[in-house]
Amino acid sequence: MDKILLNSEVIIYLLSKSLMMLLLFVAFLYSVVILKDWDFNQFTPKQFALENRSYLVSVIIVFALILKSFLILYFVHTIDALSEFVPGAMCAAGVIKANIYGNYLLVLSLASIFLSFVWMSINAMDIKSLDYPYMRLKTIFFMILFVLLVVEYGLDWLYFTHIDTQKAVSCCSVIYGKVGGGIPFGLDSVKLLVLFYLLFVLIVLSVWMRYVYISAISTLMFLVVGYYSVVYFFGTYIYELPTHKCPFCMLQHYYHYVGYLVWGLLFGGVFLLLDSLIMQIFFKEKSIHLTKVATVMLLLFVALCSGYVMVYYIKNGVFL
Amino acid sequence: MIQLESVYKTYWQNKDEEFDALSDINLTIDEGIVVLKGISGSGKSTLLSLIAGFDKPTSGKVIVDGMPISKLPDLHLSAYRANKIGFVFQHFNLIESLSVEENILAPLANQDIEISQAKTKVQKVMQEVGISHKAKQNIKNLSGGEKQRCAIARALVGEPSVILCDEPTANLDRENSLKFIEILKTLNSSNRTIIIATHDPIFDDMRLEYQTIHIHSGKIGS
Amino acid sequence: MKQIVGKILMFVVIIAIIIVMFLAFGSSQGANYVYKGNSSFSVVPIKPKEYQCSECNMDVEDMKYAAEVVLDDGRTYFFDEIGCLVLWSKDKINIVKIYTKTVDTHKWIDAHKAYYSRIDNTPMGYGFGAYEHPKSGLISFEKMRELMLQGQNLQDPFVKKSLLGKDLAK
Repeated sequence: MDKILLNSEVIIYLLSKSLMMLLLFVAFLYSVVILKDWDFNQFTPKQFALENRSYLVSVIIVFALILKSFLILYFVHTIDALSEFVPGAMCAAGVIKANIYGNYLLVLSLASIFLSFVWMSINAMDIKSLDYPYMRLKTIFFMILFVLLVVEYGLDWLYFTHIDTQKAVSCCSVIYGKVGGGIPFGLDSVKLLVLFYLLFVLIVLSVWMRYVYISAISTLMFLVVGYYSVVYFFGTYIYELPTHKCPFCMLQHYYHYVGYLVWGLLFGGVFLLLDSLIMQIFFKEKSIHLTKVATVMLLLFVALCSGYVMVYYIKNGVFL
Repeated sequence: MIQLESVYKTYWQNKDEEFDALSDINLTIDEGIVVLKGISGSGKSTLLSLIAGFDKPTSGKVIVDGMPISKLPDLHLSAYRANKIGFVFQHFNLIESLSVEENILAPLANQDIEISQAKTKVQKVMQEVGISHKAKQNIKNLSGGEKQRCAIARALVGEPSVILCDEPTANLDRENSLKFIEILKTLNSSNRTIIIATHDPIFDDMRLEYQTIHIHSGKIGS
Repeated sequence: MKQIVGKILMFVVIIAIIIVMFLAFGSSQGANYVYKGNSSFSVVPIKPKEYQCSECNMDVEDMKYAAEVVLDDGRTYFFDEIGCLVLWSKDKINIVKIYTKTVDTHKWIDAHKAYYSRIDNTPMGYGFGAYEHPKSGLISFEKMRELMLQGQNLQDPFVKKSLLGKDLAK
């Protein structure tokens, strides 16, 4: 455990996370007061003070949540760096499975980032309005999000304090090979790829035609299909090895850290698009700019993945 | 129309030095010129700050043209100040490193208008106040009266419906003070409110139609 | 016009997605790797390519050297040769039964009761083929396991040279 906790990346990560949690805790305390006493129709000293404070609280929360978005990248970098201390781990894939907390932590981190984006969108709408129509909603939403972030913070400590450097872990070829499960839902590579491109086309069409529910469903499906497509197909072209199936190895310098771009574009694009769709469905707010940015990100993601395949084919004259 | 209802402004709240700069202010101000008279420290500048949206009251309502500005979120308050308010400060608050034209153009920088349109507006107000001949001059090289006219032009360039002047003649000699009052007469119109906070007696001598409000120790007096 | 074309395209794409998904769910799932619920701990007869070797992930295709292991919870894992089984099971403590296919009688028998050649042409090249009837040159299960874990199998060039008398440079 010492080797892990005294590792500089882990120290930086945990310290930054602690600072972020401290800021959010302060915001949480103020949020309790706002929720209790907020009444926009009042012109009392208390209400004016709350209005001033709510703006400050929003700024603190936005800052902390943006920091969190960067921290997940650093988390992935940290667990990749720890692979040299954990026997059997060649990349972050083995390290994340070093104990039972790793997978839960990663999934919760991603989920909380998505919820953070949604909160920031609601906050942006709220402060643009004349009378803070979403103050109660965003305060309650933040309080729920804060609870999730506290759980995530607890998982961070549990995870890093329970990595056993004496116990071997499986490497990615076992985890992501067919023993580990393979592509689910009875899909093979061909069907997976066809679904991948069909879903992307459906997203573009439904966004263009403003079919919000179809966009939302196809985006969610694309996230799942996109993940498996990268791991079980496009990743093999990044590694130029048909048996190398791993979502984490592409984050390493051997592959020019392209994994950050691949996963950043996929998750970023999906989260932003879902965020803008939620705004449209529940708040009737057309976030055209956000939708465009998200669609461009997904387009870049598809182009990047396809590019690796085309470049390989052009260089070698065959597919893997 | 500007309305203030039960407005209080307390500084250093809940501390030993706490004091009420404004206390239970109830006012209605229509279009035209209003002179806010009172000695130094009576609360005139504080009242102007609340109307301008620079500050918020401790309690009470400040309503300008039907909009409760004391409740406006920051984004909307900035838009209110940019579109509705022209403020002439006691010490002018011009940007020393810029020219007259640039100082007057500055408030339009954040607005969504073409540069050519902005420059046309600047030319117009410079002519109105009589400072066109000094357009390219740096502020450092202007006299007190010229700086005052530049400050007025800057306050007018956004075509505000409310012009607020805080002790506008405090740093001017009598000749320039009189020139300022002449400019005021030209600005007086039916769809504009001009509020001047002053304790300068020169306003009593001039043939100027205005409403007077006396303020003393943060309260409106007769 | 654009709206109509867009709607038609969307309809076509949605139908195509539904078709692909039906095909996926309806098709064979491909080779599996574990058989669950073998509470009788008996042999699970398998067909070629029905299961994958749990050690090397290749399909168990050549049934001549196939082996399987049953754990105490009834899960049964499959291997394309006994050498892979030995590697996979070396730290496992919940093994109840090990079975192997025999080269001479083509039957599934208890691996502990089989005899092993060191020079067979097995799928992963470890060389250990199982026989039901003893013969000179064949070794016991325990000896085979010991040699396998020591790396004394045909994959080692020196072992190969000493057992087969072949010069590996050729």
